[in-house]
Amino acid sequence: MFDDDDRQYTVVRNHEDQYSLWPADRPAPPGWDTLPVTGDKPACLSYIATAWTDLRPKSLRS
Amino acid sequence: MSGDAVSPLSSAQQRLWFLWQLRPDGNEYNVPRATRLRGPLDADTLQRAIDRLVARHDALRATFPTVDGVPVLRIAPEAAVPLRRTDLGGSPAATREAALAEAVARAALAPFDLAEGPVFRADLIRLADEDHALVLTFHHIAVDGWSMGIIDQELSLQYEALRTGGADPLPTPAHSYREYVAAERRLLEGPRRREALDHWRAELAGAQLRLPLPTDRPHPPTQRFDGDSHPVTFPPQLGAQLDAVASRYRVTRFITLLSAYAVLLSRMSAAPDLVIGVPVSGRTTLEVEGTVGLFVNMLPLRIRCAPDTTFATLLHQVRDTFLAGHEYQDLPFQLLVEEVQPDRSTARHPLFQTVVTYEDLPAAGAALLPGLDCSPLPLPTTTAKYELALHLAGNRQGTEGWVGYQTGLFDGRTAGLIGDRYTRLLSAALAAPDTPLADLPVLGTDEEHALRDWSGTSGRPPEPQRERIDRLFARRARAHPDALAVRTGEGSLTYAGLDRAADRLAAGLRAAGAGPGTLVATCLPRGADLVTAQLGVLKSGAAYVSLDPAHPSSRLNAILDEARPLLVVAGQEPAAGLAAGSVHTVAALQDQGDREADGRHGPHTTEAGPEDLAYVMYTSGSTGKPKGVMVEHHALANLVAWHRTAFGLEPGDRSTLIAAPGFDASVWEIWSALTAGACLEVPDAETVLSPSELRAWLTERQVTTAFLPTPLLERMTATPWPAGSVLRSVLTGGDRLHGAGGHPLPFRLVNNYGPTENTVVATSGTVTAQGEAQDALPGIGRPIAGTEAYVLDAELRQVPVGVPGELYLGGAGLARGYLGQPALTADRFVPHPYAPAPGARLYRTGDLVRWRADGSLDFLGRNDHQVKVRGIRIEPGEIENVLRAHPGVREAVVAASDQGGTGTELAAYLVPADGTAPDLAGLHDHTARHLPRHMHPRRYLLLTSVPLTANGKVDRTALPDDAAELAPPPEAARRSAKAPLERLISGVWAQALGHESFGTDDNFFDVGGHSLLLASVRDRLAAELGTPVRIADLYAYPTIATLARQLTGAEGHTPGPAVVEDGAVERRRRGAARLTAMRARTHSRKG
Repeated sequence: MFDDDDRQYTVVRNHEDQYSLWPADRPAPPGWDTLPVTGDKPACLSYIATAWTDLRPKSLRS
Repeated sequence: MSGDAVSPLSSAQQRLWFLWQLRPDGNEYNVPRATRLRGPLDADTLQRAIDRLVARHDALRATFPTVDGVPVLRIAPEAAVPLRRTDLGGSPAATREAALAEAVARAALAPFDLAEGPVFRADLIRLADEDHALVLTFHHIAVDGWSMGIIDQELSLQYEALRTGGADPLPTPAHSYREYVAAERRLLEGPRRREALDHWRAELAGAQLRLPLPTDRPHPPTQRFDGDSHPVTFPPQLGAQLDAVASRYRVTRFITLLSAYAVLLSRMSAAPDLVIGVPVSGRTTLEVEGTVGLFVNMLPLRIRCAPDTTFATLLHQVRDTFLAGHEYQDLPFQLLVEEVQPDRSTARHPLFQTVVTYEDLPAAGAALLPGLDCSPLPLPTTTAKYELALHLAGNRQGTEGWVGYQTGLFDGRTAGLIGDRYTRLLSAALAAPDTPLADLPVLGTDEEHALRDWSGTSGRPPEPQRERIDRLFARRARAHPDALAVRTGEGSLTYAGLDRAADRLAAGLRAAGAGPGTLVATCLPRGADLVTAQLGVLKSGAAYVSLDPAHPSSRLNAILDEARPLLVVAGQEPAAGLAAGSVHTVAALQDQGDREADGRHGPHTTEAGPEDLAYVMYTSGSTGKPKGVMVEHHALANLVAWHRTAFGLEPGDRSTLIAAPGFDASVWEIWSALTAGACLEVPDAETVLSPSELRAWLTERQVTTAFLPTPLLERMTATPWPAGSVLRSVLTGGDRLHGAGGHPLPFRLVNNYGPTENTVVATSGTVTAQGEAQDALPGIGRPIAGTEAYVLDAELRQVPVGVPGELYLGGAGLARGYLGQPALTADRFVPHPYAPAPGARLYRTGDLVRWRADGSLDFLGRNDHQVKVRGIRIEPGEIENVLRAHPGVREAVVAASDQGGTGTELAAYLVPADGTAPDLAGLHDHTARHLPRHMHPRRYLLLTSVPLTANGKVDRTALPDDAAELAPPPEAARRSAKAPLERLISGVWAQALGHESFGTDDNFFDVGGHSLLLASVRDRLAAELGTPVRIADLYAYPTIATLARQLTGAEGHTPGPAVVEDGAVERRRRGAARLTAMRARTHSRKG
């Protein structure tokens, strides 16, 4: 599921602003919002590498 | 006998004859049929009907004697099969049925003698005047399923004809079995044989010929045929649905039933491409349609169940495969095996291990013997030819089925579950044939409930411990200020003392800027300072990064570069080469803290909470850089709360700090003791390296709970545990546990599993003697309180019990992620598809496990190439990156191999940079500078290029075993042991290492030695020399030359223990004298 070279993924984010990815052709699990970033795994991960600057959960940051 | 016709056997008969030779007393090839006959039976007429049957079919008159060592098919012109009569009429009515069952079983299961014959027996059991049982038993060498239909029909017609005085109503069979044998020989000598072999070879190319069925028990080295069967229940409407789908997609009932079985197996075995055996009649000409004999053949059908194929598409694929195979069914299975898989082991059936059989049932009402009420009698199944079989029979009225299984591999309960899953999957596929195979259901609601329960999702709330670890400690310190908190060889600290020492340090750290969100590294060996420093860091609100001062400075510096801690707390003599920066001792920081004691920087933080980080633990990373796992206080609090409950830890208990500071087991040891009020006992470095001394130390210190890494534990349990221990629980983990050592243990042994990413422990289970008796390795237990564990397939579906899948973890123990690595964190911590709460994450471990039927887990291995060497997790990529940085290396691949007795070892495959092999000593120096000892490859092998898979990844399975090994320097250039003492040490090394390819200047740890071997080297050396030897010296002087020099000059140079009992001093002295004498002899010889 997460190690498939041929799969398209979407970047997803939860209420704590934690990022991950999810296969683009499946609905994301509850509590995860899909971002408009879709592509192969390296593309999604390189987006996350720049977008997710603070790994602390959102509730701790405030 | 003169009229006997003699000919070779048919191919199929040859195979059965061979199997009979292997097991002449076996009955797995008996073909029995038992029928209850109620009504007026004419036994004499029945006998005459049987006589006619035997006269009509030559296969029933066959015997298989050997002539000149070769079996022949001998057919007698006539043979009698007399009805053997048993009378149970006199047995008491109450037990008559039981007696009948026993008599039927006896008749059906008695073995045959193929050499002497007969191959067919008839037993008539009388219960009353109008109540009989008829048992006809054949050896499979004479009949097949089709034959049984002929026999039933002919027996019925002959009995009816004889009863009414009629002649034989049947025409002579068109072909005898002997004619078929001759025809088969002609065929196989012609071009047909090559044509058929070509088909099957192409069909099976690259197929997996050993199906990884999820058995309850491992395969024995030799296959056993003890078996049983379990009925499968089909819903009544299934027959009609089956016919509807079959006719809609223009396939047969059998193809439909077979396709569903293939899907089930692919899901149960995690094998999308599999081979299933299917019997075919083998009667390819009309002439043999009425002939009794062994014609049946087995076709190995290869079926590919791609997850996105629909069931309807699969039906057509299976039909095409079956029809193509059907074309070549005249090639006997035996010949195919010899061609495709000649290296048969006796452990598994060749080509396939599971079969599907299907029989069209006659419409209800057909009677074996006319004029009688005939009903089939159940026959016991005691054998199984295949590991797993699905036997189906049906007609318009309904479908029935049985799962046959070898009892050595499967439990009846599992066979029942498999039958249920088959029915469920088949029903769903028939209801919606356009469903992709991946979406067909396998698990039932009962199974799903059980899995949910086992996973830890339902019923068990996480421990409500959302608290900081330093506050949990503070509570203990207030409650029991005078209890011992830490005790080492040098001294001890009470809870109050430790609290105060850590407060002073924390104040110093806060003055330096520490607080929530900052990191402070500790680089200290096991001991009171380490505990004080780490507690002080937590009290300051910061999180600690625990470094092992024994690791090479380049690795420590790499971690410091990455983590960028505020400062490093180290000992008086910080690890050599620690990059200068902010390195402070515990004492200096405490003094600083005392100066701040006016309260401006009090030790306690109010703004720090349980969501803040407690520590960052570095593990080996595949990208070549170590990765820092960030763990929050509440996750650690969950761990210690579980630990306290599970092992009853409380004030007065003594537990241990044995793990090295760089490993997360130390986190578990320290904080579970200090938050429970127990005393943390710390052995010195020497004791930890010797299994026997460590055991004695545990007893002497009256330790009640200890953690012992798996390899160490296995050494310690190899001999009976000494008396006097007060140990209650011994926890182990880190590597695959092989067992409890075979001696009774005076404590509870608990096996644990967990990645650093789930706060040390994820699953835990007591190792029971019962588990050992089942011949399986101990499991890794169940998820601990607060942790969720899921076993998922590649599509994130939960897999059934017994099926391997990847372990995913969730819940209270999850780490925050990897320090400074958002992409890696996002990749490993993924959305939780089964979360009780929205937005939760799961950590994918990369470990393969399976559920046991009792809800515990079996560890099966890694599903990537991460390896463990002596319990320590290693990413080969990290070593590969270091090797690639060597100027003489262009490419490097590191792999682990199990070396049996000496454990797993690392081999590095190198492609040299300029075609010439790099220097071995240079490589050793290079790895020693950059990697801790456990990551040093044991062997270096040369490649001209790295083998790649089709998609361009390194193909680790294609690394050659026989690649040229980078040789140690030639003997001439290498100093071999000359001096007597060097030779003595060399002999001891050779015994411990199991080889002699080392010189006097080779490092023990570079030639295969590891720390667990040190104790035996020490003991052997001591015995040979008659003088004690310290493990610390073996560490400090790791070459034969330096060790010899050290031992020779031992007296007066080695800082010995402060107090040595007199005997030891005496032994030491004598040993030194002996060494001196040896040296003197050497000199005199030289002179």
